[in-house]
Amino acid sequence: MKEYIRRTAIKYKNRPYLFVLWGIFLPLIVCSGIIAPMFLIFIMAILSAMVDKSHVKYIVPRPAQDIKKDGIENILGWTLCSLILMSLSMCFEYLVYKDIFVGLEDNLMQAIYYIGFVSVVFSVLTSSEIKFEKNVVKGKLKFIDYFELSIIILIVGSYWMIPVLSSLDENRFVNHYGCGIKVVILILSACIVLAGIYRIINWKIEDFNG
Amino acid sequence: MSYLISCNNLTKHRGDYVLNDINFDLEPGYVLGVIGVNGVGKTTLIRCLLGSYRIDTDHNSGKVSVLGKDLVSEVIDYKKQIGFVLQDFPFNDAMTAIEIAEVYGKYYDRFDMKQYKDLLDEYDIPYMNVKDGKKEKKAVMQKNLRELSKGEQIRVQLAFARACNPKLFIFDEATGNLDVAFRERVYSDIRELTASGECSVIYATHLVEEMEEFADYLLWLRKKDNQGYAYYYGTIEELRSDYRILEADMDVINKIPVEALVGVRKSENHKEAMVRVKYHKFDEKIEKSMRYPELKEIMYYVEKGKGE
Amino acid sequence: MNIKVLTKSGVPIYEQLAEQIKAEIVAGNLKQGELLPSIRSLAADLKISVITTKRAYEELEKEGLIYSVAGKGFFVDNPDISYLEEKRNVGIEENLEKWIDDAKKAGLTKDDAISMLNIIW
Repeated sequence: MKEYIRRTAIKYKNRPYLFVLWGIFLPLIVCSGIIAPMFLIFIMAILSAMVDKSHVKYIVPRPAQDIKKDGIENILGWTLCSLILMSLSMCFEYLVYKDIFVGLEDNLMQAIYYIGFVSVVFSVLTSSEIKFEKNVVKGKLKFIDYFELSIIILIVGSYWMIPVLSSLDENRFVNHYGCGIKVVILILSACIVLAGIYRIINWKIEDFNG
Repeated sequence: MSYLISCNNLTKHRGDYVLNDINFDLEPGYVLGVIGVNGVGKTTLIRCLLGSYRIDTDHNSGKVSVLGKDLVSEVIDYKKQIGFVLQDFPFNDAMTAIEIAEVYGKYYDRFDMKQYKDLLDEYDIPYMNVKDGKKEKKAVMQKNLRELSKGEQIRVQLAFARACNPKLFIFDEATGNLDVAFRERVYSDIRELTASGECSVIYATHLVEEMEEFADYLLWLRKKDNQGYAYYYGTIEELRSDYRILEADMDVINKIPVEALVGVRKSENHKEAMVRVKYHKFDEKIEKSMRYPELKEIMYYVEKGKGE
Repeated sequence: MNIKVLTKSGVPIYEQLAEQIKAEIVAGNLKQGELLPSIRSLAADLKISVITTKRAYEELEKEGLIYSVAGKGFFVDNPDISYLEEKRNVGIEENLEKWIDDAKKAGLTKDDAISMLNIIW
């Protein structure tokens, strides 16, 4: 953790404009309702994992465990960040609208949205940190990549589909399918978190694949 | 004399390519040039030596050690002895020259920040602004590395490598993007590094002309059936003493026995052949008109030829 | 000392180097006891490998022309100058024979050859 903070501090030290950017955008994100931060975090998670393409970490005298530790800290750091950001949004929504997940009536559904989304973020970070992007670029996707990709698409897709389907035929859809969908999303979220943990446990520092 | 780096039976499989059984030893104060055409496995070898790639260690083959530190069992101490300059820029280019030193310098016991900054100065890492005729020195080192040219990035790497004060320097195709003046500077830096007799250099390149200028030993890699192997390992002098160039007419050249002939080059006004002198004794008259080849010529004929 | 070595020669580089240094010693340009350039600085100047310069010096040492002092370098010895001069003259005589051969082939008479020698000398 110390190393991670140190590197982040070095990055910010010479770039004061980064503080300004955060200062402007953070309140905007928080105040724009719960959905915006969710997708923003999703995009930033992908970007952050993809930004550092350097392979110097395989050359300098650093033990492999430290490289892994860095990666795990990165994943946990961003996941925590997304939890905090979304919680702040929820507080703001509650203060202003006296309600959270405005538009979604069901409390359980709201909780599932929250859980599902954080799972997606965690999974995306884990898979990008542990060479997902290299597999995609090289075109050699492994089973676990397909697995995670399909679940992510299902979960994120459902977030769009459910409000659409509900608005089409509110009563029937929610009554007939509502419970099942919630359970399915919970199971899918659990699956991709487990997939992420599986990746971490089996993380071997492989060759740097140029 | 104990070796600075010892490489024994280094083998590396990568997909369907394999770099097979590489062996060499290098004493302190000498330069080993690694040559070969593009794609033969020079960069694979370099990455194995840097510890970026895991070498095959089945059947207890594959032992590399620097100053007695083994690549596999003492990897951290091993890596601390090595400074690197790579064509494939290894650092995060979103950082600045100073930041990479702040982040990575601490992994090397003998890293010297002041020396690093002095070297950056010496290498003319360019200035960002010129205000009132005074160059803004501070601004230089604040520039993101991605904003620098490839040549400047190489210079940053060289400054960092030197500031780590290692015993072994590894260069991988480092001078391709440098202008002639700076290339000469790199060569003289290399001579300076080895002059004390304490440091050694491993230098991989496909530019053979460079090798003749400062390499002491040569490791020539070639590829056959997707297997990279060491075609030659020894001094440049020994390699050159195996071959001669004969500039003569075609009727003379055609009389050369097949096993001694490496290749023929002919144009309208000039005909020449390269021959092997080990197992064939040439006619005295022919011998008198033969000359030693340049390394470039040896590579040309051998690589162009039918193989061995 | 102005040494020149050619890669594309019929003679290996270390031999060219040894010959040139020997010539300097025989001619008296390098005096006895004089310190020769270090093998590394010579290699750097000539842009060749230090192994080559080392070999050249070792050959000269074998012939008794130079000697080495540990930690200091190579020095010019007190060679048998007359013996070396004689050896050198043999080389000149061989060149002269070849020149005469070429001149004869070109159809020059002995007098033509002598006057050519006088003009050019």
